[in-house]
Amino acid sequence: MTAASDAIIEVRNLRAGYGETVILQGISFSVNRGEIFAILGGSGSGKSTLLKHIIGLYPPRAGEVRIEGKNLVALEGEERTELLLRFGVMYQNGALFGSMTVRENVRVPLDVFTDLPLAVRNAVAEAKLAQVGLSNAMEKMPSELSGGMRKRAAIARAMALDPVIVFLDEPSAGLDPVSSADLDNLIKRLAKDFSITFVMVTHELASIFGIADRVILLDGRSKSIIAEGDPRALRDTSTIPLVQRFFRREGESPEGAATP
Amino acid sequence: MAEKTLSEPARTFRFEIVPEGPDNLRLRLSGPLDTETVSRFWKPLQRRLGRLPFRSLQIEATEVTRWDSAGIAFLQILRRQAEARLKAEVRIEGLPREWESTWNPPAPPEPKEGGPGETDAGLVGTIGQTAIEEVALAGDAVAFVGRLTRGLGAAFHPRIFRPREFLRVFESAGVDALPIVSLISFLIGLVIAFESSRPLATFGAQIFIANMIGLLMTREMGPIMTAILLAGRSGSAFAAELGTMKVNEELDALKTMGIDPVRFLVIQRVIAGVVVTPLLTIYSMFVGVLGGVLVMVALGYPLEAVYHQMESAVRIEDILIGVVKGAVFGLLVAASGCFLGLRTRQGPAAVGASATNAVVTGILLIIVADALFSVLLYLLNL
Repeated sequence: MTAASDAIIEVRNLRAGYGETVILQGISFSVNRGEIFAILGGSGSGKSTLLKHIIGLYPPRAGEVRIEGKNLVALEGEERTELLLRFGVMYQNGALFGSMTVRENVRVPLDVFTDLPLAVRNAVAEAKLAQVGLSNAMEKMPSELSGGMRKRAAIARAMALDPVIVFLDEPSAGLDPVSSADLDNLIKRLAKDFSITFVMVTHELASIFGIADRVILLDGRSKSIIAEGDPRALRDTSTIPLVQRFFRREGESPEGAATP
Repeated sequence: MAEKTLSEPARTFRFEIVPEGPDNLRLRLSGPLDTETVSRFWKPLQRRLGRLPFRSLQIEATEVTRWDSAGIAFLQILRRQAEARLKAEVRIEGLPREWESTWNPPAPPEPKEGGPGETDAGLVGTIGQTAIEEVALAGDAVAFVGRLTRGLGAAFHPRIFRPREFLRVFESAGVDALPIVSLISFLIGLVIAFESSRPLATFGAQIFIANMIGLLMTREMGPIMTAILLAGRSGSAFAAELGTMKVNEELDALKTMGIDPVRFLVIQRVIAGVVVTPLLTIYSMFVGVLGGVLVMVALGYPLEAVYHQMESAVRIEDILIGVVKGAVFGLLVAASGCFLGLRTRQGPAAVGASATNAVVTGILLIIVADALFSVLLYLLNL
């Protein structure tokens, strides 16, 4: 995989893990500017671990991650902050600050990193919340929101400083099919309207086929990527049994043999 | 196999041990083998089987009328014991199809290769592990002090400092603590006065109760009691708040936003602790002295005499020492509470552990610091 000029994220030969445990190794892929990219895998395959390494919460054990050509974990001070502001993250349960209203949550990055007057910061937060359909919940506390609203508020917060990349950790986890589809449509619309690159961790087949342009599929046993490409093409043409089983929602057959 | 109802006479469980050949036993079961019968026949059956040597055991269960998980588990224990004790072979006949997978559970999946699993480290390993963790803790604590010092600049950056958050912490750590500080201090003053009155009376020196209360409340009990209450009320709250935020990934969210959690969350709490503890300490001194004076008045000393006695005993330095102690204790309690909150591990139980740890650590630091103060003040002749 060569570093194409439109690659916005490049992961090269990454080995990821916590403490003594290695969870992923030899991971290489790149994400192109403007695409909706999904990291797939079964439970425990290291999807979230990979995401946390990409966004710099954990340093790689080997290899490197480059976002817009820069290695986040090697940067310090201003340069690091500058790169951090180029992307936003929606955490699995929203990770909204519980002591602030929804509007204040969205305003936090603006408060800290801009010198805009309060009225403008509020207006930006309102606009972001309107984009995700939360205009009428701005003064609520996070604990008063439903799971889907919390995730949408978190997306609004992730987009507060107009980032070029938004990372989503399990956007549809814990949502009913309708809210989940709404969220998918929202992501698709935002990607199209603002040409934001979305990188999401998921195992929701409906979202994968509905909105993902390209995916990688992680396997916990080999700790590596076992498939990469267009999800529909992978479903229809892949000859790898694990990939087939994942996309067709088949469990392991009782005899342990691969599905024919 | 028809399910029998409770009312039927087949509700009696029977077992029979039949020797077959020199080494073989047959265990014949009939009636329901379920939670109720297992709890009744568990002991007698085990006792009987335990005495017999055998190479193979054939369990005949064709007559069993009712099965549940307890029944299967019971037979599995019999099998495991026979296999472990006698290396005997245990077979079963008449087990319903639906229970076969429970009787012969599928082999667990092969452990993943790579990283070491949960192995028993042994005594030496455990000591080593603990030592490594303690060193890491000390290292983290030093780093935290550094980040805290560097982050103090945030106090002058209102958008990071968030004055409203500061006031909220100030209120919960300070104003809300007033009733309990009043009660404890008042009673401490009262107790000191009562306890010292009898020994001092033997020397006819009961008037010196005033000196005792004055000096103890200002130099020791005021700051210590206030700080211990702060550790119990606010140190634990800080640890729990930050711990919950960590578990909810809110701290990760701050980090990926490029915001240092120490500057955003810790600074206000530490400053609130440093500001509020001396204020509460002064209040505590006053209320404690009040309690003691009340006892002296009850013992028959005129208020004026008590006042003059106390005025001659307590210098302004004593009050200042108490206030400085309060500030230092407040710093220690708030900082250690926040530090332990940020170090919370994953899971809801970890938040509770951090809160407990914060109280214990806070009180420990208070007492150690107080001891150091005593030595220092003695050397300085204060």
